[in-house]
Amino acid sequence: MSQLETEVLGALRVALSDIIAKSVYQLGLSWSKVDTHRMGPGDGSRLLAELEKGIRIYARDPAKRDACVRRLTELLKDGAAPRAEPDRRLVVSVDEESDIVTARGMGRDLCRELGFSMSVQVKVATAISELARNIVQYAGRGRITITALLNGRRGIEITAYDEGPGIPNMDEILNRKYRSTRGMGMGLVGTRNLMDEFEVRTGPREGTVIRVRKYLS
Amino acid sequence: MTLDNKGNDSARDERQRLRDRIADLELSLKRTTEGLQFQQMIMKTFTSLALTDKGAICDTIISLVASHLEVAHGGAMLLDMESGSVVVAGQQGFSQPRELDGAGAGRLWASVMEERIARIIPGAEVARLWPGRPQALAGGVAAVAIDVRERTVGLLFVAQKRSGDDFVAEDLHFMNTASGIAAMALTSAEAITAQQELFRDVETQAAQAQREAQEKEKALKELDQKLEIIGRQQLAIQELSTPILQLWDNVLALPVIGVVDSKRSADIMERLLSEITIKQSRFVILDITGVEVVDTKTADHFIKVIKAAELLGTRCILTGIRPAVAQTLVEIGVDLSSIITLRNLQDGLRECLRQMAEHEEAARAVR
Amino acid sequence: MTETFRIPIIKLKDNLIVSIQGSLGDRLVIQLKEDITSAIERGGVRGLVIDLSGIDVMDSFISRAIRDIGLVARLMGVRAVISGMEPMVAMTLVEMGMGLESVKAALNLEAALDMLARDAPRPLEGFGGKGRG
Repeated sequence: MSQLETEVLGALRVALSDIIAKSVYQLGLSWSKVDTHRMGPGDGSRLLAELEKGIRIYARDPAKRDACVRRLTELLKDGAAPRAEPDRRLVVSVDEESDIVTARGMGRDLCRELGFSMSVQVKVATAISELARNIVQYAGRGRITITALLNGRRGIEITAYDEGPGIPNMDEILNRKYRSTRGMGMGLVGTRNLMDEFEVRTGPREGTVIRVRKYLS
Repeated sequence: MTLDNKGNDSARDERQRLRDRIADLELSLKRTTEGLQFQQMIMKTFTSLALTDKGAICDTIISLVASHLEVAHGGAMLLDMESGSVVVAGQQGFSQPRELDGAGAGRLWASVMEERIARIIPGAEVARLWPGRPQALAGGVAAVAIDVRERTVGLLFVAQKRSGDDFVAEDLHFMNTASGIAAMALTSAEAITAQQELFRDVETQAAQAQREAQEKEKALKELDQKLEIIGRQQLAIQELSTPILQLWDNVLALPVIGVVDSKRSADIMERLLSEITIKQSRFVILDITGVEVVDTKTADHFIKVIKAAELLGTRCILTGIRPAVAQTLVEIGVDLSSIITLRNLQDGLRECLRQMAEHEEAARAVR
Repeated sequence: MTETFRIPIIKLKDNLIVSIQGSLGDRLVIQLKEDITSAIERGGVRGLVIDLSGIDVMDSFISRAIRDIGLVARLMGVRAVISGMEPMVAMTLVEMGMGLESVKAALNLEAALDMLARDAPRPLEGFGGKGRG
């Protein structure tokens, strides 16, 4: 029996007899389809909602009932439960051109694992290639993190960090008014076109952080 | 001497009386003790059996009482207070329970139940109240009412000690206690029954909820299956709605029908490009006769498909632009000047064949 | 990529053939441009085929490099043709909003050589014996 299970049962016994507490708990689990050994986000509140229904049916004493619900809310409110499947994150430090290939290869493998189609695998790998090449060309060094988004909307997130000079004319680049002689403008616009979300933070002394996401559906 | 004798006699008598009294008291104490021990045993029996059936309670109590008091006959009965008829009975020594419910029996039982404490009803009294009494009751009975929560619900009686002795005060004490135990057993039976009913309710509700959950799950599963089927059908329809046809050696045709959104466009592009690479086709005719409405986005999709195909080294021809679509394209300012556009699929194929022939000739010329 | 590595350039009749595999870096691109221009300078070159069948990911840097090579070659009187691009790579390039503009494409190496032969400027009639008839 998990720690959480013991505590939830204890909380139910505040308002219900032992046998009814067990029934209510079992029913709550089957209704909410929650596994107390593997709680994901949202599971706690789902289970809580179902348990509350049971408590309202069986608890006779309103004061005990409220106390029971309060205790359960404490136990099960979102965030209290540990995440079932932590987002998987890969970090690649990008210092030279060969790291570009490493980074995009890792991104592509992760995409394949997540079930992205061939065309999206290539798109994501291309975006990573753009971001990594940006780092090598303009900042010299930096790093790329590739995260599998497993909770909520599934997908992949790529973040490129560098402490380079920053990109002063970002707005112009993204509005396609500017083209660098080395192709950066096209690269960033192209990356934005390939991905579902594109977010950039840059400044003269802060370096550059570009975060992009592609969702599975 | 005489005096002495007299004195001695009276003293002896006195001693004898005292001795008898002590013996009586000892007997009484023994009986009471035995009675108490027996009561404890009965209590234990009822507690551990947790009987809920009233007939079983009556049977149990009377058999225990009869064995303790060593009587040949006895009964524990629950009566309907209004009609006086026996509802439930446990009996000892009678050939059949009906014997205790004969015509006129009601008067005897009513008389027993008037008093709350055990008493002895002599044979004559029994005969008076119930002339048709069974022979077993002829010598009189010791009887007591059974009260459950201050209401008389029945009675307990015994008749004919096996020893032939009359009933004594201790027997009556024991009867009183037995009646109390019976009452307790009946009360707890009600409680147990009520509790069991409550449990049954809970179980029923739980089972009901379980069923509902299962139905919910089943419904969800069915929904999932339906969605999956719809998904598969959609995929099939998508492929059917944009089949890639090999019109001729080196010529693929893609007749697009209906609405082209980003998802479908991506699907069309992926399939077409793969097909071009597999078939190594030099020409692709994109026929949009089946497309009624073209906005900037749709036009953009078509241009992308054509550009990508051309990056592979395939020549693209766009055919079947409807008059309304042509007008819209001009109005919204979509530039299709870099793309070969022809009236219909036939013209498209003719153009492909013409170009192929031209290339053949050029190739021959070079050789 | 090591310092000594160079992309090999094959000369087949009057065409140059370059096959790009995997990833290109700055240095490699500069080297390739130099190697191609000097090969063209040596003479006897009419066409250039850049085979891309070994490229599974093509970012803006590589596409720009290929386009630049094509443009440089054309300025020197040599027609450049790319061949064998992977379908998903083509799709990605188009989605990014990039193209290879002036560089023509062929399905495969053979088709590329065919295309160059066909479209090549014809030698004058009566010279070189390659004319019609």
